[in-house]
Amino acid sequence: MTKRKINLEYVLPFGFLIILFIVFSILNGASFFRMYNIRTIVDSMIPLCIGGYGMLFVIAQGSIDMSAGSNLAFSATLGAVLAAKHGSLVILVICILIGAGVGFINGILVSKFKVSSIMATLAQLIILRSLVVILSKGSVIFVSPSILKMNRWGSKGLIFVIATIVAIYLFEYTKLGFSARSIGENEIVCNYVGLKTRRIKTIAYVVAGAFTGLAAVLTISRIGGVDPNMGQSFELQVMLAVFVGGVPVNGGSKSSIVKIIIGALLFSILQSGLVLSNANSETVELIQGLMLIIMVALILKANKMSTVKTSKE
Amino acid sequence: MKNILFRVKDMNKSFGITRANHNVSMEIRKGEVHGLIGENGSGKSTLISMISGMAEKDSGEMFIGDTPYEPSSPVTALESRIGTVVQELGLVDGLSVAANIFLGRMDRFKKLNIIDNGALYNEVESIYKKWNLPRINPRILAGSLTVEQKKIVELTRALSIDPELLILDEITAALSYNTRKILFDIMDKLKASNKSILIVTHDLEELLHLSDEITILRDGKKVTTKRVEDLTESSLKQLMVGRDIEGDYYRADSTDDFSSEVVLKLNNISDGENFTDVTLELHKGEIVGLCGLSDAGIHEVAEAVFGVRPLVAGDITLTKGNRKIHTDSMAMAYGMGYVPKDRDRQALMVSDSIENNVALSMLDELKGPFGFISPAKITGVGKKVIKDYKVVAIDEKVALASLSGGNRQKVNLGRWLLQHKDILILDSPTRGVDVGVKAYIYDIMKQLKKKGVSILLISDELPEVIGLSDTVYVFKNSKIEKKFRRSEGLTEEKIIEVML
Repeated sequence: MTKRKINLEYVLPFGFLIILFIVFSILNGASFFRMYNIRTIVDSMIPLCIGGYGMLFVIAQGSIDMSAGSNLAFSATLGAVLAAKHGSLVILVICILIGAGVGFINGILVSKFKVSSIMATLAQLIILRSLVVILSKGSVIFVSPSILKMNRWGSKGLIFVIATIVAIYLFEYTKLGFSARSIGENEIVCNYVGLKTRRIKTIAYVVAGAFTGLAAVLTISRIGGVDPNMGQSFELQVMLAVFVGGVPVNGGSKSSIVKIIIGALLFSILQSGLVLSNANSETVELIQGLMLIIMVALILKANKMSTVKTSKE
Repeated sequence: MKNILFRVKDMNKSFGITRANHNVSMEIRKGEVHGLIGENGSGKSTLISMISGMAEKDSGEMFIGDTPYEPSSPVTALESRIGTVVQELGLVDGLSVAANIFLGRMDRFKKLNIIDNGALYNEVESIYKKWNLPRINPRILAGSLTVEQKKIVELTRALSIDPELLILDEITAALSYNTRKILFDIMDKLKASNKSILIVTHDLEELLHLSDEITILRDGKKVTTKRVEDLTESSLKQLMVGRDIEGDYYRADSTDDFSSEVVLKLNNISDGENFTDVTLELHKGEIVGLCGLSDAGIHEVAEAVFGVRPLVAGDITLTKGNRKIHTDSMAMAYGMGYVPKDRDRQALMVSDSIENNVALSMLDELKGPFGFISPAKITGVGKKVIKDYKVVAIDEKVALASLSGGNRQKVNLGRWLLQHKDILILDSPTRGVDVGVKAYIYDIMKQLKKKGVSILLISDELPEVIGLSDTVYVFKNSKIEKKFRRSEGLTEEKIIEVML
C-alpha cells in the first residue's frame, strides 16, 4: 500500500469554499441560511456549471471557447424563432441542437482549418451576437408560457442532475474525455499513438455547444422570452468558475467536472454573500477578480512545490 | 598538476532524499578526451549541470587549472570557456538559430543599442566554416529544426567560445553517421590544440574508441577512473552495473530465420518528400532492420507505416484482414504497436501519470458497455506494465517526468507489448537508455521473435541493426539502396559503404 500525497489543487478551492461559507454565515447570520438565499446561490450556480461542463471539454484539450455567451443568445433566439409556439420540450431539443451546430462550426474551424481557438471563437462571438440582433430585430421575443414551468425547482433540479451525470460520464469515463485531457497534455503524442485528434477536437466543441444550448433553454425559462442582450459575458463568468475551481489553464489530465462544481459554488456563494452584506456590484466583481488571481497563483505555486519534490536527477 | 585542465573535488548535490552526487572527484587532462559513464540515474547529468552552471552545487570545489571556478549561470561558464551540449534540448524555439547561439551574449553585436543582425549572421557563418560544421541557416527559427539540427546548433554554441573544455552529454545518439564523423574530426582538432573534452555516451564501444580516460559513476558515487588501455567493454559494463552482465547482447544465430507468411507489405510507397518507391515485406517472426544516414527517410517510413504520415503514392497492406492503409488515411493501424523515435516529444505525455500513458494506447480495448472506461481498468494496466516490464517507480500514479529515461522507455514499449500486437514498429528503441535496459529490450525483442511477432526496427546504431535483424534494408537518398540478409559476413563496414 502506498500513501498518496494530499492533492493541493483540490484542497485549495475546497478550503476556500469552507472559509467563505464560515465568513458569510458569521457576517450575515441567519439571512445567509434562508431558503431565499440558498435558492439565489443555486440559481446562479446552475448555468455556470452547465456552461462550465461544456467549456471543460474544450479547455481540457488546451483550447478555449470565447463564443459561449453569444452562442447562448443565438441558440435561444433561433430556437425561439423556430419554435415559439411549441412546447417547452421542443424548444429544449432545438436549442441544444442549434448550440451543438454552432459548436460543430467552431470545431471545424479549429481542427480542420487550424485557426487558433481564441481567434475562431472570438470571431464567432461577434458574428453570432450580430446574427442575434438581425434575427430578433433588436427586440424581445416571447415564447409559449409553458416554458416557465421549466424554471420550477423540480424540473430545473432534474435537468441539472441529468446534465451533471452526463457530463461526468462523458468527461471522466469515456474515450472522448480521456482523449480530450490527453490532447491537453500533448497533442503530438496523441497523434503518434493513433488517436484521431482532429475528430476529437471537433466533437469537444460540439459537446461544448450542446451544453451552451441547454444553458440557453434555462435562461429562456427564467425570463419567459429571449432578450437580444442575454448571455453577455457569460463565457467570462464560466471561465472564472472553471479556473477558480482549479482546472489548469492549459488543460490536461488534471481537469475534472468536480472542480467546476466547486468553482461555480465558490463564485455563487461569494456573490450572494457580498450582496447580503450590502456590497455594490462593482465591489462584487472586484473581489471575484481578485479571488481568481489568488487562486490561480496559489495553485501554480502548490503544483510547483509538488513537482520539485518528485523530480529526480 | 601541470597537465590537468579541469578538476572537480568532493562535489555533492541532493534532490530531496536522492543523493545525485556524493563526494565526486574527477580530473580532466589537457589534450585528452575524458569519458563519463554510468547507468541512468547514476549522476552524470547532475555533475555536468553543475560544471556548466545550470545547477548549483550543494558543496565541493571546481578548478580550471589552479584557479577556483564558481559558475553562477551557463553564461559565466561560457565566459570561462567551458562549452556544453546538454542531453535535454537546450534551445529557445521562438528565437533564430543565430540568436540561440549567442543567447545572453548579444551585447557584442550591438550598434547604438540595436542588434546588428548582419554581423551576427556573419559571425555564425564563420563559426560553421571554422569547425567545418554542416550549415544551418542562422536566420530560421530553432523551433523548425529537426532534433539532429538542434544538436548541431547547440554544438555550434559550445564551439563559438573556442572552448578550453567541451562537454558533450549524450550527443552522438541524436546524430546520424555522417554528422558523427564531423564531430569526431572536431574532437581531434581540439585535442591537437591541447584542449579537452568531457563526453557522456551510453554507447560503450564508441566511448572506448574515443576516450583516453574514463570515469565510472554508480548511484551518485565515483567507482573509479581508469585509462582506456586498462578497460574492455565487459569490464566497463561490470564496473557500471556492479555485477556481471551476460555476454550475449544480440542474437546468437547468424542466419535469417522466419516464416514465409507475409504480414505487412509496403508497395512502392512515397510520401513525396522523404522517401520514394519503398517496397518491402515483413514476414511472421521476422525482424527487418532499416538503416541509413539522417536524411535517408527511414524514420518517416516508420511514421507512414503506422499511418501518421500520409502517402502520395503506393500502398501499405496488412495481410491480416487484408486491411489497406490508404494513401491519405491517417488511421490508426490495426494490430500494430509503434514506438516513435523521439520518446519525450512523440511517445509519452511526460507530465502525466504512468497509467494514463499506458491507457492512452489502448482506449478502445479498455472500453466497456456504453463506452465506459473504468478507472480501475486504467490502474490495472498501469500496474501490469510496471510489474511485467520491471519499471522502477513508486506506483502507477506518478508522473513520467520523475522516471529515468530507461524506465520511461519500458513504459513506452510495455504498453504495446501488453496488447500482444502482431507487428511492432520500433524506431530507435534503445536511444538514450543504459546498458542494463538496452540488454533487457534486446532480450524482449528476441523473445517476441520466437513467439512469431514481426518487428520493423529502425535505428541509427548499426551494431544493433546487424545484431538483431533477419533482413537489413540500407537506405540512401530516400530510396532502398541495398538489401542484406542476416549472415556471418555482414559487417558495419559493408553497410556504411552502401550508406555513403
